[in-house]
Amino acid sequence: MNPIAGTDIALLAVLGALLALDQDAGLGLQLSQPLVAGALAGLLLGRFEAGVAGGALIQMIWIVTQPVGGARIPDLALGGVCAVAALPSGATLGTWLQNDELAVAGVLGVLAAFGGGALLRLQRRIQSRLASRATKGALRGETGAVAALQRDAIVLHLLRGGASTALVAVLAPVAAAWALELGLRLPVGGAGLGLASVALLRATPRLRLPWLLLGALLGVVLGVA
Amino acid sequence: MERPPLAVFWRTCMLDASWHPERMQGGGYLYALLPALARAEDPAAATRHHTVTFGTNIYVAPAVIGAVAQLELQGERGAATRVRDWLAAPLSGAADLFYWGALRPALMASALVGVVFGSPALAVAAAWLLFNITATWGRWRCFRRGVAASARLLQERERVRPPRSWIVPLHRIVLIAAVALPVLAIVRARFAAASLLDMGLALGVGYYAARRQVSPGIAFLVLVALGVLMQRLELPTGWNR
Repeated sequence: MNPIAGTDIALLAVLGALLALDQDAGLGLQLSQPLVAGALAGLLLGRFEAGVAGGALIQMIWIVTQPVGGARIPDLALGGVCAVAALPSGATLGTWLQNDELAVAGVLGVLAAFGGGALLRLQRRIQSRLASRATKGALRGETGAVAALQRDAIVLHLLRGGASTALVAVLAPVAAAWALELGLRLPVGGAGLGLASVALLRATPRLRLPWLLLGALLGVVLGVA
Repeated sequence: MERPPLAVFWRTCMLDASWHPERMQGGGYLYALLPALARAEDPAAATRHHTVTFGTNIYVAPAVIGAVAQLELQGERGAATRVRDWLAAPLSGAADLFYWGALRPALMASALVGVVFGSPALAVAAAWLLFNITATWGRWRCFRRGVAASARLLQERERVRPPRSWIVPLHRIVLIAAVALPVLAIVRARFAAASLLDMGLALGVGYYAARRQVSPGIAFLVLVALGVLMQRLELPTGWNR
């Protein structure tokens, strides 16, 4: 497993900073969906197919999420980028569902996503403190305090996203090499697809047989084609 | 009649930045309104009045914020408060169902079908573009209609609510993709035992996890642990290759 070069880590950190804004600051362009984030990370690292494979696995695990109110959503963008960093540079989409190196990438991606979620909750606790000062200012009619709160929060998002992405870009290849040496090799593509199917079926209120049959037919036709 | 400056709309695109448990999007809401409140009769009083807890879906928030900004410019603070307090929650419920419950899963599931089929670049780009065309157009449309309707927005909320007629077709796409994904993978893998066995196990663990509201990430880690255990015990599964 080759470590990622310093310039690539810097590029990934910039990407991670932007993904944090997209995911947690309300930009909402969905660049931070693991499939898209993985593809972008793959493009930056010059291994698009590995990027899509890693991102697709994390996307399959968390394909339906509801970021409403204070819901504890993991950092899916960080999970996607971590999975890409953990995959070997030669990984291709040809047989990726059967690739037994995907398990390590998936496990590290899931752990990074949980870790990133915890970091976001920590940031929001910091923002609570900043906001109490800004609220006092706003109640005195000072608009500068509100603008400062927003500016500080955006800087915190950029720093958190950039730093956490750089950290996983450094650690993921090392951890993946270590886990593969220990023998963690499983073709988990089917497991990801199974989880995605359950989540998607539960996301729809009524299971209509004709549409399920149409899906099965589409799967067979595309699979044979 | 004076209209809210365009900066109000752009600032709604960072609504969640200062999210925190006490006032949720309250900081982002007030920050978005500032360019309009600066032109109100008494900016300090207006700022105090809108220092509140606020929470809604980011894609329909421009409707509420646009209407509130317009009403503040007209000096109708009472109507602005009613729009803010009465509209944010119902619009949020409808938009969450549409964007998070239907549009995003349908497009991401379609993209995954494309990836498994072997057209990753096209699939990812098409899904991302379709979502953003819908969401960005929806945000801008909400802002324009919010400003135009102002106090009437309470009666005309249907005009800014995401299209409910889209939800059923989107759910059909989700259903089709939910079945097409594993079938496509199995057919392409020439019915490999590995696919069938770990997918079958994942369906069982995933269903149980979903019923118990366990995180899918935890379910995945459990599946990997089960796979490792089966390998160690040399059980006859697809994972023992």
